[in-house]
Amino acid sequence: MKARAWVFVAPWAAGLAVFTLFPFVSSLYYSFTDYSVLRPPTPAGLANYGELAADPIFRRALGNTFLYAAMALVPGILMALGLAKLLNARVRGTSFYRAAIYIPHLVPTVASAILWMWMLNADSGLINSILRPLLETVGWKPPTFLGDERLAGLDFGRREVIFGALPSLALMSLWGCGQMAIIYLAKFQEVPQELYEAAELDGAGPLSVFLHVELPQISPVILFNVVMGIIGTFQIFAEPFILTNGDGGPNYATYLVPMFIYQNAFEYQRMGYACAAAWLLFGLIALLTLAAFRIGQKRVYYAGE
Amino acid sequence: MAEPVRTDPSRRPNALRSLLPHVFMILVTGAFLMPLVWMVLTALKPVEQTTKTPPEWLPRVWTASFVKSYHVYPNGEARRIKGSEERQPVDRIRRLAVPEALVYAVLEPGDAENLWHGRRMLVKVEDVASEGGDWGADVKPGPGRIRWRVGIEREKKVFPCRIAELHEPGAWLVREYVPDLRQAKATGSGGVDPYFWTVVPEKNVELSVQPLWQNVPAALAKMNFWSMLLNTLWVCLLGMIGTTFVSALAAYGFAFGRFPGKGLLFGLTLATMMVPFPATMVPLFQLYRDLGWIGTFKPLWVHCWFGAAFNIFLLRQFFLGLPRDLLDAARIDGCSELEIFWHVVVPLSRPALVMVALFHFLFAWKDFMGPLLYLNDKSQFTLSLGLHAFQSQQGGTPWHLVMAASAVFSLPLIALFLAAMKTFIRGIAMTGIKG
Repeated sequence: MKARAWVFVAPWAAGLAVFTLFPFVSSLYYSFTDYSVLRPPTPAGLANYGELAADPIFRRALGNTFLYAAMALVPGILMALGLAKLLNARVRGTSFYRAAIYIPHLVPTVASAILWMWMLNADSGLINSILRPLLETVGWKPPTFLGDERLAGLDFGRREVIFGALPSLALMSLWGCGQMAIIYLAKFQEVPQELYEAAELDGAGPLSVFLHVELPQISPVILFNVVMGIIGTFQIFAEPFILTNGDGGPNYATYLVPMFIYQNAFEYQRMGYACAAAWLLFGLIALLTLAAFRIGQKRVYYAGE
Repeated sequence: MAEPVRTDPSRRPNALRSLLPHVFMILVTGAFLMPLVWMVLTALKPVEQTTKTPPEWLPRVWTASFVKSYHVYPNGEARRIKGSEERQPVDRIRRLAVPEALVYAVLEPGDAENLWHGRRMLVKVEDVASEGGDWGADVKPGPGRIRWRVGIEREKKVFPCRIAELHEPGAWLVREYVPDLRQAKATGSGGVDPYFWTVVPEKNVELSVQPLWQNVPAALAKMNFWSMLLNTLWVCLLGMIGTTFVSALAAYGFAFGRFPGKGLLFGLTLATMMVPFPATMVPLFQLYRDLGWIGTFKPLWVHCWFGAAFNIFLLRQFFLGLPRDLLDAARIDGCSELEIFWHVVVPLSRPALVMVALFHFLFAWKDFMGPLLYLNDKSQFTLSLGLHAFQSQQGGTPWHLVMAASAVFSLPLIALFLAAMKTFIRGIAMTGIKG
């Protein structure tokens, strides 16, 4: 009996070894080598990491990745919470609203990236077609979105609204926050009715019900979403690749670490260098995930655990 | 959320209170659905309408019925056609400035410079939906009538044409709608290089709100949709069957089995979810290259037949919630572990298995980076890769076709979701709650 249970797990154990652990460990090895496809790897010590630290493009990519994660993750989590709270109001038609909010998440990455390219088109995109006439009445210029390397803001001198490529990328990711909202909603619906009744007896208003009853109850899921969000946003590749036709432009404004790794590995054939960047990315994700768990554990309320 | 009981006798504030969340939710969901609506509307527009500012929401097309209409041939001959009352979308409308019945077609040798593509009728027309002068034009209004010059150029010589005679005043020149001109030119259909023009009476023609469904088949043919669909389905289904089956096996082992190192292996399984794809990408690529799998579908599905961490995790959680008595009873009856798995656990876990299968299908359908790395040949492209290639080759000009292809590409997933909404919602909720 005991031996048989091991058989059930055997294919997975083999797969884990061949398709995850082996590549994972060998990429660590390659990160300490000079390696292009044609020649066998030669040991290079910490040279790759040293070069990364001095590489302005990598530093730009790293900065962009942090900025993007902040711009996509924080508003995304807040928006999903808000949506879940709204959906939890138990008005009629909830299942319709829920479906409508989730559907954008189903649109394949390539299709949604192309759709947003079209929506954000500076000349004839839908968003500017609406913004331009509004802004022109007060003499301002609309943003150029994907063509602008700056972030966001207002330029009073040139009377111009700034909304650049990187925030546009984050805006696009917000569109797909329905997945998170539905996870929150499920947890909202599990909040025991007694707690609401108790809160009502205590004369708690809607805000304090949210802060003191609902928020603690759903906090484990917030932690889960933060962790999954960190893992997801730090390895985003397809969206900027498609939106910018593969160059991370304009002027590296949307150039993120995964694209840096991809280009070095498969366009410049610098496999060792790419692996070093990949391991830095992994280290970052691991650190942030651990930090999230650390901070989370103090604040998250686990019912009955 | 429990509403405090109100003793307000008037009904109106209550009605307002219950309406307000709806209004708000409609606004919010409207914002979420608007990009999709815009995608579909763009897909059904004629190309020149897509770039209009301010944007026009509904697709508006020139349509015409072909009652009392003529084909006018380059030799000047006009033939009445059997047209039906039904209006069809037409392209490149030109209004003939014809004050009265007669249309003359006279060829003069000097007209050759305006001839186009070997065969060309020269007519002066009043632009209605002008998009450049490649229909060419020249007119000489005569007293009470217009003289049309019609000519054909063959082998750099212009041959004279006969006089064409039409008798509908205010006629319009139309051509049946061809969604993609370049393709029409390549295949010779649709009349980019017209062998004839269709002349219809003015009252037959109108600008009306009508979706151009023709865009959809045109876009699909252009991006080679159907063969890419087969590729995508092959990769999705093979991977889906493999990952569901093997992940369930492993989950069963983790849930009910006892073997040395189980805790460690399960911990490792969970930890690998944190490993970003770029960290394994380079050696994985080399592994597949050494196996000779680059340029085949194998790198996209073979690894699924070894299970996936997240699926194992989800299924294990589900299996642990199954009634233990049933399993023990089966064990006492002398079932082997494999029999228990197949005859007890699998039937009881159908919703969870369907969910894992659906999620894999979704993931594989959307996947862009895998196909980008491993597929080289266009004949092997999946839809993700094919749509990207289509969009980048077109340089973004025919937005109507790109949007049509995007919409068709997205539709199966949305349909799948609407058909299996309960499974989906439960599944998504489960991923969060068990985490």
